[in-house]
Amino acid sequence: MPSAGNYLDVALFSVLPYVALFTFLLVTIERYRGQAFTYSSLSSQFLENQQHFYGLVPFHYGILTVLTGHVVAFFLPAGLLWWNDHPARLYVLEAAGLIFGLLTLVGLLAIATRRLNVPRIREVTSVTDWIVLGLLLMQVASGVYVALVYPWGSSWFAAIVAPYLWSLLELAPNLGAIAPLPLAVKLHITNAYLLILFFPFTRLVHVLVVPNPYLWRRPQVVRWYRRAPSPARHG
Amino acid sequence: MKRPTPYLVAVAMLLLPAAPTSGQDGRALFDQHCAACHTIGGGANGAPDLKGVTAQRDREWLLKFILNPEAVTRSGDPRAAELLRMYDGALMPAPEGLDRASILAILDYIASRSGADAAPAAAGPPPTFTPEDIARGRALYRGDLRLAGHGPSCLSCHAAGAADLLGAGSFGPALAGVTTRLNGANGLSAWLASPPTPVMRSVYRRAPLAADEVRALAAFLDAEATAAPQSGLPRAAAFAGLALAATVAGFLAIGIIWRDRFRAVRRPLVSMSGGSR
Repeated sequence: MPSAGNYLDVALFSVLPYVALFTFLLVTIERYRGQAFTYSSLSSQFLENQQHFYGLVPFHYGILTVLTGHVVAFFLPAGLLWWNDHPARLYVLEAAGLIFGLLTLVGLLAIATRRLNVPRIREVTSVTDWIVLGLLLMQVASGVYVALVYPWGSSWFAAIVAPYLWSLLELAPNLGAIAPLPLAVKLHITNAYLLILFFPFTRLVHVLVVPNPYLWRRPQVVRWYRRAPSPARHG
Repeated sequence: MKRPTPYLVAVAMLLLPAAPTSGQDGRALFDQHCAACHTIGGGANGAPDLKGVTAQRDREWLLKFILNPEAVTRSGDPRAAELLRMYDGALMPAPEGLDRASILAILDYIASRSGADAAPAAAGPPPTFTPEDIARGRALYRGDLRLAGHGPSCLSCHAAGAADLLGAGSFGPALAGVTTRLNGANGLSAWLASPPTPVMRSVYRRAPLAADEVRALAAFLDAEATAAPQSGLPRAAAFAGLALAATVAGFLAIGIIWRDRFRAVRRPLVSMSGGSR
């Protein structure tokens, strides 16, 4: 007879991922077909660009690197274990992961502080924006916590989490090794599913239409081309 | 009602002898699923000695408990609660891939070994390890020597022995004193050959340890049993400190790389004009 904890594990780790993925695919496609011009990051650089720089830049380079690491570990777990077989190489990888995780976390905190403290930015911040920020903060903070408290994640991700994720894709979820994981790791995984679930309803969709030169061209000023509501106040 | 056809009778006769022959597998099943923690007459250390258990408990209870130890314990069963107390809250993990028939076969085997004259089924005297075994075990533990099944090195999750620059993983329990917890080197070897805990089982079922690797790792961990357990805290602090310093350097680098960035149009104009705003 499964206990309440078992039911929760099944709900979070073998039902939620399908709900999240299905919603993600369906809504991103529908939104692109119906409202293609809402695919935007809704940049607020025009409203404030001093604090913006030190939040936006480390956050994006951090999250892109860390996310790439997760994707590589998912597709090439054996390669990752091969790399980690020498402690020196393992340390280099883990330290790099933590550094980029910290860059992401500090950048994200800067972004959240700016949104809270600059009145003009707060004015254009919607409820979904706050949900996105909250989920991202939870995700990055739990990731950094796991990296610090449960080393070495690159190895156990490849050995434990990657096979679980593949079992989801093979439509035969295997929770055997997921159920006993520490709470922080479970939180990190569950929150990732929530992010995927909310992704298509938020400004995160800009990830799917990012012009790739963003990554290396110089930052530029984004302007809103819109008739000002009261021209008299300019000057 | 029709009488059973000769065909059905023949099938039934073919099937009937199948039940007793499953007793043949009892020993193999016991070695595979139970011997990592239990002995029959070899003494209790970390898990009950099962000699005579089939006489002390009724089979239905044993069957129910072995199929799902957690459920029986949670149901408030007094005997399960007593076991939990005796073994400091360590609950037996549910053995994977055992059905009613195979558990009954194991119980038959235990009963057959529980007679007054039956010799203990313990695995003989503790093995003697050479320094080469220990050195090879250390290399396997660290990952310098790759495991034949390509599983992750132990250091990924477990601390044991003298640590490197940044130490060992702490995802799984530290391994200092593990030999004592697992019935000595023999118990440890049996445990490694067929790990009973869910996480270890799921990882090393795909990448099983070879017999010589089990021996080397048992040698290394046995040698480390006497070593003082290392504290992971200073290493973790060093790791965090290093990463934090590098992160600060990262912020400085970002500022330097984009020092010529376009900052504003209006602000420099206002300051050039000497106006207040």
